[in-house]
Amino acid sequence: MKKILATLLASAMTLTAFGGLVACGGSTEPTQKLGGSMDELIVWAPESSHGSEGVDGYKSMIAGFKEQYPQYKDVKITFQAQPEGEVETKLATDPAAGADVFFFENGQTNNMLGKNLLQPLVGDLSKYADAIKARDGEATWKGVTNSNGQVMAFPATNDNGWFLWYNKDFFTTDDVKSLDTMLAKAKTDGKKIMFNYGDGWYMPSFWQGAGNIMDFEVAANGSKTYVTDIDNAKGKEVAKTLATMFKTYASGSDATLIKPSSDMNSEIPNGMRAGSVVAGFIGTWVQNGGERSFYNNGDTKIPTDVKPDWLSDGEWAILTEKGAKDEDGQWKVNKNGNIVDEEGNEVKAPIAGMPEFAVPTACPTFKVGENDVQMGTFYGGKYCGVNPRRVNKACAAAFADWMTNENGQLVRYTKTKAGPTNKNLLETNATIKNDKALSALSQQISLGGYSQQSQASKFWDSMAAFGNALATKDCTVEATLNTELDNLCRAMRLG
Amino acid sequence: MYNSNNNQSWKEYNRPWYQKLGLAIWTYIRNVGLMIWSVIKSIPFKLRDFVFAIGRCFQGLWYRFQKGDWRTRMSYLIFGFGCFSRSPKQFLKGFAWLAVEALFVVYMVFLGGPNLAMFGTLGTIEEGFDEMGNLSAGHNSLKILIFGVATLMLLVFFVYMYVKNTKVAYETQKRVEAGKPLSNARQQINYALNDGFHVTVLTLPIIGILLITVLPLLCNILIAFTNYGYSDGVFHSPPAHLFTWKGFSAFSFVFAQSYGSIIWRVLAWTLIWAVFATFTNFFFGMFLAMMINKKSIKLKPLWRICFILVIAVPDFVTLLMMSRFFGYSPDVNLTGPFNLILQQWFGIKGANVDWFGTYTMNDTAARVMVIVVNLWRGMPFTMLATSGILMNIPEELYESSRIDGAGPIRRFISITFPYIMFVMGPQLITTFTGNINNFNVIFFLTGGGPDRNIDGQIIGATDLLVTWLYSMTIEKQFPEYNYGAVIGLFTFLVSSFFALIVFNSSKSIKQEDTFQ
Amino acid sequence: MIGLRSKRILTDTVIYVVLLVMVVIWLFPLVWMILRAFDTQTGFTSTTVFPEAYTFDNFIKLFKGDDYESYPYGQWLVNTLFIAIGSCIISTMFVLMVSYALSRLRFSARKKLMNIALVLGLFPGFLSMVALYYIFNQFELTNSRVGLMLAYSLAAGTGYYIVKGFFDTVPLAIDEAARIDGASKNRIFWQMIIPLSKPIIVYTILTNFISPWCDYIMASVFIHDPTKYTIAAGIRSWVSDREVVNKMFTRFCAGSVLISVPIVILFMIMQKFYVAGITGGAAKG
Repeated sequence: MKKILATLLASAMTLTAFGGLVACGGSTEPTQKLGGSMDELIVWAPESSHGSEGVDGYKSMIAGFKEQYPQYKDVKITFQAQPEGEVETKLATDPAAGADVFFFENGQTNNMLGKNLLQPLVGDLSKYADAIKARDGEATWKGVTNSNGQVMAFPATNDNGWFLWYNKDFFTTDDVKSLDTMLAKAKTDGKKIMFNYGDGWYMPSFWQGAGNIMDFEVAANGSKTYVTDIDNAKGKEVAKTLATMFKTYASGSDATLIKPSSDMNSEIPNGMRAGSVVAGFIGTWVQNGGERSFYNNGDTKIPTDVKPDWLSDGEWAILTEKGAKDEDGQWKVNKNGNIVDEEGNEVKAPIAGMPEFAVPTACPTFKVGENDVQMGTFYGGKYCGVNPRRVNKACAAAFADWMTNENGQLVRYTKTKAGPTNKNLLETNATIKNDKALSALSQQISLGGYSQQSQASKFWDSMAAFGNALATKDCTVEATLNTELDNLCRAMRLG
Repeated sequence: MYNSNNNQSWKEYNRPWYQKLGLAIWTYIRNVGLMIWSVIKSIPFKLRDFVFAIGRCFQGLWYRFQKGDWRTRMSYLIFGFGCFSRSPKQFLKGFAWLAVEALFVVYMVFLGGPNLAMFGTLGTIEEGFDEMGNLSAGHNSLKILIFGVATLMLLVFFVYMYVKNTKVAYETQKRVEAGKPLSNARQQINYALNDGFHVTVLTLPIIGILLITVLPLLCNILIAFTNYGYSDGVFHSPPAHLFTWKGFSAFSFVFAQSYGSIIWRVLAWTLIWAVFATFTNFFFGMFLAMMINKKSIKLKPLWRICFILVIAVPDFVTLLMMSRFFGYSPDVNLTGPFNLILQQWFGIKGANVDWFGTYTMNDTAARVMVIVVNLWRGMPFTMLATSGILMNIPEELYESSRIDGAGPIRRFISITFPYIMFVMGPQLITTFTGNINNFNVIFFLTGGGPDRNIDGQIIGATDLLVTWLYSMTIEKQFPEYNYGAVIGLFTFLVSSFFALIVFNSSKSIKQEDTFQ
Repeated sequence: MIGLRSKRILTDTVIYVVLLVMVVIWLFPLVWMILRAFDTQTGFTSTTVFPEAYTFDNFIKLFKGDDYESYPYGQWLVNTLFIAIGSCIISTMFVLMVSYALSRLRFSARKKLMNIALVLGLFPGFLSMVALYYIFNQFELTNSRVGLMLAYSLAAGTGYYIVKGFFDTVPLAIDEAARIDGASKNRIFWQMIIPLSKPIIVYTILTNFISPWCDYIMASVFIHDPTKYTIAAGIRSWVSDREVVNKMFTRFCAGSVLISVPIVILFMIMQKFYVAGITGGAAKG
């Protein structure tokens, strides 16, 4: 009996298995695997070099969001600091394991579209696309619109560019119109001008200004070829000028034109304050003359006894001196959640950053032969994207919308001075209208802006290598310069 | 090989050193050549043996099918049938065989079959968004590749098990026919703990190695023949895009086209680095050990511990710390600690050197510095090992040479050094191949920099093959997995060239039986 | 004779001086790091070599502070400990099993297995990281501590050399005697070989315990969630990210000092076996 049972059992097992093989063998239908869960939301937001204002600012908006959208009040929202420039790389390795909502830079847009990393705002989400089109500047949302006309992300800032900050006690307003004048004057006094020539985001400035092309050209069939003409007569003339300029000013241990050694965001303001640096090329994210309040609510409680790391020593000193405490020994706050003093006025501290005498303005011109050529810049915005490979997309889109609407952009502006894209803010908010850095940026964009959605894969590294070569090799020798320029073009044309 | 040469030079120590060195190098190259030649020569024979073995296998299958009764023949379809259908005693064994088959079939149905079916194309359906913004699923080329390889590996294993299963069934039949008792469950377990003990202990570790090392490795070799990665403006990588077979195009890209002019440069520096890193550590470590071990030196353990402290700290800590210790800033007041020491303690005004050359693009400085810091980090290892050896050199050797009137230098050349080389020789070559793949030192100190543009490709002056491979594949905006795979294979060839020596001369393989 | 003696004193003095200078050079960077760990400043840049004022703040902030959520060092410590213990147990078991099989048992594929293991060791480890990541991804083992633990330990079998070398030196006669008494190979392994091999087992346990503390690449590729990082993956950004080094450098020093202390102690215990392992039987004369 046992024997028969065993035989039957075994035959049954084998037959089903083989039957299954025949039945399912041909089935190769792929299935989409989504990550995340419905009760959590992971957000990647940038953390600025002088504290965690970026993250903190957004964190303070969670409470309001949950009030507005009661259906999401049990969702656990977690912020993780992630530099905007690295989001594409981090996401691409395993998109389903990435964040639900993330901030990224315009330079990554095309790549992220190509990797299907951005959720199109269509179907159920099309209401957000409509809202964006109504509230944000056209250029900014056009920047994340794909070839089918679908908006793919929420515009968050439009300040992803750079310009000149200079010491107004050292340079006159006439001096800063010409880079050559500035360099000569700084050299005479043994001062430094900081320009990050070891970085592909800054170095192309000279060719951009001269009107050379460095971009992908999309053919009618959708195939892309990289086009650049920086090795034509005009481009070569620029390169020659640079070679002379860098040899005179950027080489040797007492160079006038220097690049930062590690973090320009702190080296330029510090150098300016110390007096050794008299001008620097950098963006709106180092601001001056600002004051900050101390927001003390929700997830960003400031302790009363120990200095939190994201406050500078100076800020902490002001806070402990002026801030009032309530009967529980906690900071006294007003209805906005900001810490107040005994009289009920908000405690304010100057924001660490550019010193008062540093003034923002558009980049100068430089002389190529007899002509004055305006230095150009890349510019663009920062966006907030929703991950299409996570399950909690509806909540993610709602939160992304919440963080980038008028109020959200105002919060980010207040915390980090990031220029908004919101039309209403730009037109009506007096502080933003009078922001010197933002107006310097828009002035720079009108003079020589270069908007770009993606670049050749070797573009950034090879531009950096070219800048470094100019400063460390004698490129006034024509053969050396030609080799370097030739290598640069070859690298870029690899696409 | 190394050892036997040393045995000779024991007797021939009166030859001048350069002759000995020349001879040693020549013997090495000749031996490697001979070894490669003997491997190549044996390939046809090996192939022949392989074909014969397969033939014998089928012959056996057919023979057993003819001679077998119906139960044995059923085993050709249902594993273990010849066991469990004969006696309840054999249930455990029979069902174990059946389980192997069932697992295999289940695997084939759900993963193996579908993926193997697409192995030729690596997928056809590409992911995309529909009108409503939903992301439709696409084929995952990497999944197809990995499970294709895994299925092929399992198929080989299955065929082996298939043959084995028929053998077992036939043997059981024979036993029954001869009237011998069949083994019961207890005896079967006992077998697993005795004659079959190697299978019992090796199964899990080998599965681990197959899963973690072999399978990914085979996949990567195959990736070298695809377009997996960024090329022509498209990121051919799952989940968004498919990749597919491209023959030898990645090889030609790496060796002939774009990377052609830099790969030899990188290889040259990799070898220079490996030579310096290995031999500076070896010689300085040896001299340090000799100083500490000199009889009249007191506090030996204390000296030793001071140096060992450096290697006891995790290396990512010490290396990252050193990269900052020799930091640099164009502003003389904000420079790194070592420059500050020069300024403040040694009174060198304005001392501000870019030690790692990453700011001033000084290739030579960067290369010298990584070797120097590597010496700081690696010398104590040699010191530690040589100390042990030095203490074991028989005192009589020194005594007799002293009587012969040999001076300390003479004694070092004829006794100490050969003795150390005898023990450390194979270890030295292992260290050398280790240095070819020494990722940490370069990655944490300079990150491969300073970067240069050479013929349109960016490469760092201190980039080794492995750090180059890393920068090509991991955490990059535009990863090039296929080129990375080619470079990985190339690295393997380079290190195996040097490892061949250890391979054949290692004591642990050759003389193990004489030891016991 | 006096000449000879004074010559010896002279050489000894020279050696002492050289050793002393070398010890200073070798230990100075470590001392600098330890002192910076107690610095009141948080950034890397400093105008003096050593700190001007000392505090325990950096150590306290590792475990509690307002940015603990962003930099949960304590959590990383627990993660690393968990991964190290788990991977140490699995690795040690695997290494002992493989070494025993290759050293004491004779079977047909033995030489082949040893050769294959040697060849496998020559491939750069992270060459296959991308594929390995994907394999683990299929089993939901990426971005997971257990996954990282398995990735560290499952392939441990290839690292059998030193332990096998030790087993080789245990006389075969012991096995034979036991077999005559009717002991199974399983019992010989557990009851004869393992107790005789205590030193090498301690060595294996220690090396396998230490290695996850030192690995950066595997951890950084496998884990995305900062709360699941190991120490190495976590604190690397404190010193290598240009934006962070100016506020986290001294905390990096503190964190490094903190994990280095136990690792150094374990390493000191281990190094005796390290020497024996390298020099093998030859060092015994």
